[in-house]
Amino acid sequence: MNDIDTLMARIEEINALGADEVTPDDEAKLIEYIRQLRGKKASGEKPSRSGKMSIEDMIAMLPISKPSASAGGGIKLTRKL
Amino acid sequence: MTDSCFLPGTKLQFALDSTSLSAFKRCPRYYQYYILEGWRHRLESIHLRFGTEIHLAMQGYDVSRANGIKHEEAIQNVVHDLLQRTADWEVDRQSDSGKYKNRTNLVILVVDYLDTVARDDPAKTYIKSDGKPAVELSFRFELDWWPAIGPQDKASTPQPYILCGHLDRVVEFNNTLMVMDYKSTTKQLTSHYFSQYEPDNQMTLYTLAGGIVLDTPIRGVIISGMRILLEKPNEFSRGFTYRTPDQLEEWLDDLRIVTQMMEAYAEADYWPMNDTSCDKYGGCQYRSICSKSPQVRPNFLKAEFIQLSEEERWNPLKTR
Repeated sequence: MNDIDTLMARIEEINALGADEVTPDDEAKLIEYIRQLRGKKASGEKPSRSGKMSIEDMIAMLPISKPSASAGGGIKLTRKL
Repeated sequence: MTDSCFLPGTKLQFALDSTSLSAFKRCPRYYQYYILEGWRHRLESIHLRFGTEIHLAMQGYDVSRANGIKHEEAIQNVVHDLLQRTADWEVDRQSDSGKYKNRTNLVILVVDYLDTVARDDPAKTYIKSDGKPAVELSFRFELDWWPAIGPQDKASTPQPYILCGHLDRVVEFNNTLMVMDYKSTTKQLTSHYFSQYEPDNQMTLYTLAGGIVLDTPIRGVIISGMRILLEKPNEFSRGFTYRTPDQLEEWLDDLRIVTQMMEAYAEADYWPMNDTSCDKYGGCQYRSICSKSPQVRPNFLKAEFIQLSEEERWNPLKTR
């Protein structure tokens, strides 16, 4: 979990408080967290992924090797117009 | 209980606003479903609620600053009120709409906007002659024509058409009075985005109404765009749309014809489809209904939409 994730978690915690539970101090902290979040995003930081791998992440992990031309078995495509 | 916006015993709307006029101009059948019959898609309320909360937050801030309250105290008040109002607002954050338009992103967007745009806004809230700031101005004024159908008691004055609505804020910018309207979106705030407001029913009505309400010329509207982003900072940008007196006059002339069309459809109790609008405006929400055969449409409407009660349906005469 990076700084942005931490800030978002803190923001969500305050947002989850009931109307009669949230205090002026919570509101002040909420504003401060949002300002810090803005600064982090402006400097290029992004939320970390949720723990699940995306298709792009999986593909990036696969070894990429170009098929050898001499390996044979390649299919040559022709198009007749 | 609010007065009806329809002539008694008819489906002719005499009290009109931007929402109802835009609906009718877009497609009479859309107007029938949305305004007359009150059919709402289950997810539509997210956009309406989000937009309403933005307007209320901006109103609160504008009033505070116009009354001399400093930015930090004003923003604290706005956040307090926002959290209180939205405490019970639940959104499916897995949906395409809820992912962006939810309570958390709403608060973040509001604080970001107030800090980066509103704090040192070059557009200053106009102070009316009564000393009050020109924010959330409700307007209601009569036109100089009336419906040709409906109950006509020759002994009494016929009910003229009325134009109603709310202006978010009137500002002085570069020695010019403009209406300011806030728009939240997930789209890029480019010249293409702002070009949708020229021409535009709502912006023309706002320019016209601003001039009448304040009894002073208004040049047009500043669209204050707020783009909701998840991984980058929220973005804000403004576009300007102007209306000349001739354009305002033309809009009123066109409105007279539009009201005649409304009368014709109300008298026939039939609102035809504009089947060239179905793919516009991001795709009509009633497309899945209109694409069915007429006999089965009522069943699909009930299955896919919620029907508001008569009291809940759109009524320009309802005060906010």
